[in-house]
Amino acid sequence: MKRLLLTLTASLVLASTVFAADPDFNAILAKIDDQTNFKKTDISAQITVTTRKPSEPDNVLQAQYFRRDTEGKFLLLILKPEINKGQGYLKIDTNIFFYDPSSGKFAKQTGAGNFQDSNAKNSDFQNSTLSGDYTIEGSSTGALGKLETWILTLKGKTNEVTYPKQKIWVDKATGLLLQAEAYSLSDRLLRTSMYGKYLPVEGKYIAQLVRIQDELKKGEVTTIKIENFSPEKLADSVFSQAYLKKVNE
Amino acid sequence: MSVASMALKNLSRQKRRSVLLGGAIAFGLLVITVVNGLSASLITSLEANISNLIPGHIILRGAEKTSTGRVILTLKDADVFQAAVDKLQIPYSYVSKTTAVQSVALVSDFSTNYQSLSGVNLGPGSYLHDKLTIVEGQLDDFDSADNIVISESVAKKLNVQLGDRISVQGETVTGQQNVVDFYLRAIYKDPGVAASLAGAYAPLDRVNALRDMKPGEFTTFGIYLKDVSTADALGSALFDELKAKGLAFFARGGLQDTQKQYRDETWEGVKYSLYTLNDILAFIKGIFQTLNLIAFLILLVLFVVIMVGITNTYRMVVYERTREIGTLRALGMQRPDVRNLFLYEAIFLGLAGILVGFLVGVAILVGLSWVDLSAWKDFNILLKDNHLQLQVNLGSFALNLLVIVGLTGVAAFFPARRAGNLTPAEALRTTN
Repeated sequence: MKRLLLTLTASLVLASTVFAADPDFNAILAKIDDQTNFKKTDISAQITVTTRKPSEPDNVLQAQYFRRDTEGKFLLLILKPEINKGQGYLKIDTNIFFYDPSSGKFAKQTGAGNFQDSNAKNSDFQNSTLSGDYTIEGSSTGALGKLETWILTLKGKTNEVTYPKQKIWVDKATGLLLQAEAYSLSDRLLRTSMYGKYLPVEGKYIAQLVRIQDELKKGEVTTIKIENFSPEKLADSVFSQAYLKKVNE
Repeated sequence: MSVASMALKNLSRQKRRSVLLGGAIAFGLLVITVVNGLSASLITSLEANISNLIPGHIILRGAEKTSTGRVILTLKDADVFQAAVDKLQIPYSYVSKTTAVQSVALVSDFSTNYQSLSGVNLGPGSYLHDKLTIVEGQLDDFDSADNIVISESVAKKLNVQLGDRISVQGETVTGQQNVVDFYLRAIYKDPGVAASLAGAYAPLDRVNALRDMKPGEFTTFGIYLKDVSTADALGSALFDELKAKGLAFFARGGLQDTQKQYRDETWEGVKYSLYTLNDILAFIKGIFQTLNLIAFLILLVLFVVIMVGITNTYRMVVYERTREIGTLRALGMQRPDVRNLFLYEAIFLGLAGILVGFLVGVAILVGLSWVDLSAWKDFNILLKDNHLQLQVNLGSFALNLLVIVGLTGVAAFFPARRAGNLTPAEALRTTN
C-alpha cells in the first residue's frame, strides 16, 4: 500500500512537472498573430526586396507597402526599378490582383504565387494568420542561436493554405516568430524564413528584416527590409484598384 | 488583221514604254504574290506545328469554383465526350486526356526554368509520340515511370543530360505548394517562340500527383482530327450536342475569354469550355490577315499611281497616233474598234505585267523555300523541316488579276474613248 502511494505521488509530481512545462501552444500561435497584427490602425512602410541568385546580379526592388489588418488587405506599389515602376499588388478578401500599368489591366494571382522574380510569395505580405490556418501537430524545445525557442510543427487546417506543413521557431521570452520552415505537400523542405530586428510599435511588433532562403533552388535568397514604418490610419481609397490606376496617371 | 493582234503589234512598237509600264504592274504583283505566299507559308507551318504542341484540335475543359472563389480545372469522366464524338461520327486520329499546368518551376542542380507542364500519354501509339521531334533519348516506356521530356533550349538552360533529376515545383489544384521529382527521358526539338505553349511533358498520373489529383483524372479532353480544317465546324457541332445533353458550358471564345469568365462568373458543379485550334490561333492568324490586307491596300495605292501613269501615257499615245487613227478610220475601221484597240493594248500590257510579276514572285518563293533556316531557331515553329513552305494562293492570284486588269482597263478607257470618237477628217488634219 505504501509502495502504491509512493508510486502515485511520484507519478502526480512527474505529471504536474510535465504539464507545467507544456504551455498552451494554441495560445502561443495566437500570440504570434496578435503581436504582429495591427488591429487598431493601418500600417505603411517602404520595403526593399533583394533577391540573390547564383550567377546573376542582385535584383533589388523597392515598393511602398500599405496594410490594413482589420480587413486582411494590403497594397504594394513598386517604385524601383524603373521598368517595374507603377506595378502593384492589391489583396482584397481572398483575392490578390496584380496591376501592370503598361497594359492597364489587373490579373488575378494567388497567395502562393511568387512576388515578382523573388523567393517571396505574395502571401508573405499579408498579416499573420497562423492560428487560423494551422493546427499544431507537434512541439519541442530547442535553441536558435542564443535564444530558447519553442519548435512547433504545424499542419494546414484546409487544403488551401500555401504550405501544407510548417515548422516554426518561437522565442520563449517574447512569443515572436524567429524562423519558419515551409514544406510541400510531398513533405519536401521548400524554404526557410528568418525574421529579425523586430520593431516594437504601440504594443505590437513588426519584423524589419526577413530572410527567405530557397531550399529547393540552391543558392537563391531573398531579403525583405522594412523601413520608414508608420502606424497611421490610411484612407479607404488606398486599398482599391482605382488607387493603383490613379497613381499611374 | 484583228484588233487584238494590232494591239499586240502596237505594244511591240513602243518597247521601252511598254516595258516600263508593264514592269510597274509586274513589280506590284510580285510584291503581293511574295507577301501572300510568305504569310500563307507561315500560317500553314504554324498551324501544323502548334497542333502538335496543344492537347487537341478540339479541346474540352471542365472547371469547378469553390466557395472561396478558387477555380479548379477537373474532368473525371471522358465517356460523355466520347459518346458525343461517336454519335457525331467525328473523324479523329486520336483522343487525349491531359492534365495541364500553366506554370511550374523546373529545378535542376544548376538552374531553374518556369514554364508549362502537361501530363500526357507519350508512349508508343499516342499522338505526341509520333509528332514530337525527339533529338535525344526516346519515348518508349515513357508512361510507366517518373519521366519528363523537355525542349532543347530548356535542357540547355537547366544544364541537364538524359537521366538527370529535375524537381518540379508547382501548385496543387487548391493552391498548395508541391514538389515531385522527374528524370529526364528525352529532349525534343526546340519550338522557338512557341516554347511557352509547348512546355514540358510528363506521365499523366505523375502530374496528377503534383496537382494532388486522383490517378485517372485529367483537366483536358482533346480530339486530334483527321482534317484540321474541319475543327471549327465539328467543334460547333460537338458544343451543341453536349449542351443538348444538359452539360453547362461557358460561351464560346478564346482562352482569354475563359479566364474572364472564370473570374466573373459563379456556378455550381462542373462547367465546361470548348476551344478549337483556330480559337487558340485566332490572334496570330489575325496578324497575318492584317498583313495581307495591308499588302493589298499598298497594292491598291500603287495601282492608283500606275493608273494615273497609264492614263497619261495613253493620252500621249492617242495624241501621237492621231493621224494614224485618222488613216484607220478612213480605211473603214469603226469607232468601237479604235477604242478597243487602245483598251486591248492596255489590258495586254496589264496581263503581261501580271504574268511576269507572278512568275518572278513564285520564283522568289521557290528560292526562299530552298534556303536552310536551321539557324533561325527561335522561329522554327513557322518552318517545316527548317524551310519555308512553298504556298501559292491561286484564289488571291485570281482576285489580284481581276483587280489589276479592271484598273488597267479603267485607266485606259477614257483616252481610248477619245481616240474612238475622233472623226477621220479631224484626225487626218492634225499636224503632229
